[in-house]
Amino acid sequence: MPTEINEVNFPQCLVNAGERDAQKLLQDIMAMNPEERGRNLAQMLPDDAFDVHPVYHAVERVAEGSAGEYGKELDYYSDYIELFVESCWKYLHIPCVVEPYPVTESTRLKGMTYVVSQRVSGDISIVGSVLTGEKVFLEMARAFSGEDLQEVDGMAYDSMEEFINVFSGLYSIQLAEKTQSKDVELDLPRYGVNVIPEGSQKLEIALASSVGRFEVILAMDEFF
Amino acid sequence: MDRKLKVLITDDSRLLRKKLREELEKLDCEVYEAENGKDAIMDVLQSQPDCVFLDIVMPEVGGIEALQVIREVSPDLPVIMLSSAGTPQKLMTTLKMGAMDFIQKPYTSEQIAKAVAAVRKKVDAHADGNQ
Repeated sequence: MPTEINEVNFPQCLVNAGERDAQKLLQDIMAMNPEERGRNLAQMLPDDAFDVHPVYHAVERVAEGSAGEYGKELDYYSDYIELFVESCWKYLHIPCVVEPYPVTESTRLKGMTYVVSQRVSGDISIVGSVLTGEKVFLEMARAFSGEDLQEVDGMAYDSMEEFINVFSGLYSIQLAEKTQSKDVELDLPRYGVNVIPEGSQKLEIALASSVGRFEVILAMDEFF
Repeated sequence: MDRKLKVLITDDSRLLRKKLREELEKLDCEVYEAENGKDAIMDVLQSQPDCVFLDIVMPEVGGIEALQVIREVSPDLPVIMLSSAGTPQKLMTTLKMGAMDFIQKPYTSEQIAKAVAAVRKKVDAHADGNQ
């Protein structure tokens, strides 16, 4: 993953090129010897599939196929997702890749869902949320907290809220620099159950991860 | 310093308070907790801690507002900001308001240990000055 192999996101390159199934690839990555991971992934990748910003291009493909129309916000969304993918690896040790095609009714998460959300506001405002099923929610909460969480309880919500809070803080620093905002504020993180997030310029991005599939949903205003 | 350092940690995240408490107790600190800025201000007045770790984004009263009040009621109390909201502007604002340090979340054990060591040095110097 990016921080281990000199900042090149080989797994995302492979998925973008259609070379590998995302879920299977991530399972294979977790089974690899960490010291050989970079070399193994590089050798799988055809030369013409190499990409310095594969997450950006995956998000662009999602946006192109989605119903919405996106302007400058797509750039901010791409930054968000690129940093999010890095953060999942760095702070949760959960590798993930963007599925480079739009979320549809048939591919949207089914069953009970959990969402944590936080707004980042400067000269522009972005609301990001992480939408998961119960299994993925618990795996992420366990990974971040280091606690043996067995059910979605107060500590699990707290853990996911704190993860998105830490992530949003890192993103806010990046956003402040990019937009040259006087400052960037964070709202309190929020959570919801079985909520369908809505917002303007909404973009739903599905990610495959080593613990299961989830979505990151971005918009320029509040969801729920 | 013969006694344990009294540390107030202020964060609305139960997880963060738990983890930071564990870290500080390993450093031989006596730990108090507050969930928001309003409770932190009350604790500063009542318990008189040796230092405060203070988050920024909290319900009711946030960290910046709490820092302002703490500075008025206890001008020399070491306050260490521990927050995800670590933009350059926040860093400058809080340091100008008299915070001793700003630690960006996620923190490392080394950062906490270094902060505690700095507080101990300051508390010892103050105690020596009073003798």
